Order: sequence, then C-alpha cells, then structure tokens
Amino acid sequence: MIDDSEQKIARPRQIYTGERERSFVPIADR
Amino acid sequence: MSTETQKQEAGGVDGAGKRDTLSVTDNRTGQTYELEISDGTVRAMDLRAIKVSDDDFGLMAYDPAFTNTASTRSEITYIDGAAGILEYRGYPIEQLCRGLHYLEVAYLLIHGELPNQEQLDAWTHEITIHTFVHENVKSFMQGFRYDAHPMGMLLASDGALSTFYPDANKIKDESPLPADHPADAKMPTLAAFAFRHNMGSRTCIRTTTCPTPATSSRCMYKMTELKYQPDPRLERALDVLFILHADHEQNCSTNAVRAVGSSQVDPYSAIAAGVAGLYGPLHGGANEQCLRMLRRSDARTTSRLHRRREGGQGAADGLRPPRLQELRPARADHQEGTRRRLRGHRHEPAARHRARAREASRSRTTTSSRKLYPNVDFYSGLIYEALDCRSDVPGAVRDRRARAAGSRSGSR
Repeated sequence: MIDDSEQKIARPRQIYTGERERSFVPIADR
Repeated sequence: MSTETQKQEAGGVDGAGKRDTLSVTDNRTGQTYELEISDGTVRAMDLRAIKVSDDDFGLMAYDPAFTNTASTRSEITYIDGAAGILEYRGYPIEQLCRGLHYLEVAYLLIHGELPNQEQLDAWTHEITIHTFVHENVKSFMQGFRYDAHPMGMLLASDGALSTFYPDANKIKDESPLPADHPADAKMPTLAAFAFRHNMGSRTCIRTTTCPTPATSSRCMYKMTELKYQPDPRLERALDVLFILHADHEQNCSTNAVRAVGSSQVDPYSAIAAGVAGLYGPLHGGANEQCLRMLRRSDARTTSRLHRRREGGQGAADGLRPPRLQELRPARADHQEGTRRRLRGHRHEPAARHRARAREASRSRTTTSSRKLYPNVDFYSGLIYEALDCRSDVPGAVRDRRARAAGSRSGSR
C-alpha cells in the first residue's frame, strides 16, 4: 500500500442533505 | 441495480427532454446503458450491470482513497474549503465559535439542534457523570512508558474501555442512554490522563470531570494549587480549538470509525480506530509536524512550511481552511501570553521564525495566486505552544477530545 503511488490518505466524499446557513439563536430564545 | 439500469441498443437513447440520467456506451459491446443520477452521484452498483457477457462480473469503480466516492448521506457538516465555509448543522463555524461552548456544539452535532437551557443542563450532567472511569483504567495507563506517545495511550486505553462495558456492543437495544454518550464522555478523561502521564504528573480523581473548558484545563494543568483557577484566555482557546475540530465530515478518522462501526462493534472500539487514524502523520500528525517545524530554528523552516502546505492535508483540506479564520481571535488572545512565556525561553528562535514564516506567506506571489495560506495546523500550533503543549500532546488532547462528538458523523 505504501509503495502504491495511487494510494493516499482515505477521505471519502459525502452527500450533504442537511440545512444551510442557519442563524445562531441565543440560548434564552431557544 | 438492474431495475434502475435499462439496457438499450446503441444510439437508442431518446435525446428529447432532460433527464437525471447518464447514458454510457460500452464500446466493447456497443450496448448503451442509462444510469440514474441523484444528488450529483451515480450508484457504483449500477455499473455492475455493464457486462461483456452473462458470466462477466460487471464493471466496478476503482477509487483508491475514495477520492471521488461518496460513502454516505449526511446532514451534519457542510464544508466548502475553496469558499471558506464550514457549517455544523447549518450554523456557520464563526457564529458557533463566538457564541457557544464546546458542549453545546457537541449537543448540536449529535442532536441536530442547539439545546435550550434545560436540555443543556441535562446534557452537561449526563456527560459529566460519564467522565469518570474505572480505577483500573488509571492502573493500566500508569503501565505505559514515561515517554509514551499520548495518542498511543489514548488508542489503547479507549479500546480497553470496551472490556469494561461488555454491553456496549448491543447498539440496537432500546436504551434511555445511547452507548456512544459514555464513550464520548470518557474521552476527555483519557486524554487528560495521557497528557498528565506524558508530563509525569499525577492524575487524581478531581482531574476526571472535564466536560467544560474550565475543568478541561484543570484536568491538564492543575498542579499543587488548592483551587486551580484557569486563565480565562486559556479556557477560551481550548474551547475554540475543540469547537473547530469537533467535526470535519468524512475524513480519514471518521471514515475509520464508520468502517469499523459498520461491523456493529461497540463504540469504544470504533472510536479507537478513529484515534488510530488521527495518530497518522498525514492526519492529526500534521499538527504535530507543524509544531516540530515551528520549533526547529534551522533556516529551511520557512520553505518547508510552504512545501508542507502545498503537499499536505492543509492544502487538500480546502485551500483557505474555514477553521483558520476562527483561530485568529483565539490566537490574538494568546499572543500576549505567548510572548510572555517565550521571553527568555528556549523557543525564542522559533518565535522569530514564525514571524518570518508568516511574513513570507503574505509576500510570496505564489501564496495568493495558488491560494496557499498558513493552515489550521499552523495557527493551532502557535496556540499549543502558548499552552505549553509538547508537540506530540495536542493531537491526543485536542483531536480525540473534540472529535469524539463528531467522529460518528454520518447519516443522522
């Protein structure tokens, strides 16, 4: 594996399905 | 899957109208296939329908290191490195760093919503009571060599915890308390033990409750004071570091936790696999390497810093890592302390060198044109130095402590 030039640190991708750009709410208002 | 893949004669694709599909012609056979596209991906299993003959296994996707393979759907962390965006559950990192403590962020990552006061109190209590570890854990940690690497200690002791909680692998049982919460809660205790063992300091029971930055710093730094009062800037710096490193979506360690966890092993063993990932020079080790480089006062340091950034994870991370911006205020908080500590200190040459490296990174033409900047490892390295962390300690204390919450980053 170390000698294989095509190998590198394994870091898969993900499909992001969550929310975007929410605004922070102070704890008293939650 | 064959149900989703329709085999058609070459040239038989209906060109009228746009569809979320991909047409592929296999030139070995002249067959054309239509693969479904969803969320910007095609399913690798759909390729298996592409065969030369009936007894052919079918096409596979070859993707060393999963560079272009999505392994999961996730609604936890969004990163756009080039645009400098990092969001946990949709909240921008800069807002979380300014307004929250680490435990609130851990709650957010795990539960999806920020806690109200009542939820936060319950959560803090739950984590606090689970920070305690069996006395035997202390005994076997004392068996490590005096100079044992804290990450190695953390890896081994976290894996060993699975033997204390044999029921922890019943992960599908309906339980009022998921087994992964205690696993998260014990991480700071183990990290503090490893830190103190490495310093040659005694661990005591009062050092085991560390869910907040105040108690965290006590875990790490308390010596002979009757009542340890942490420097508020130190607390803040720890908090920001923990928040910044709490999650980073599907990186090597998270992938390791998920891969090992897919066998339905207990959370302690799965997290130990993640610790092992972070132990590697290309992962958490990058930070260590950066600290060593900063302390080495040879003339090549500046250019090596550049090479490190160009070839290292920092560059791959996102060219202008979003985490970086949030480190700056924390770093500013620490500048005065750093200067005081460094005055007359053996690291004085390193301090000069850092200034030179920063200056060089600003002025180099390649730096801006190639979007290269000092990365999160560089700036967190400066803070660790101010915190008197030895170069091999930060990875253990920071990464595992922080990422216990995020390392299971998955589909939840």
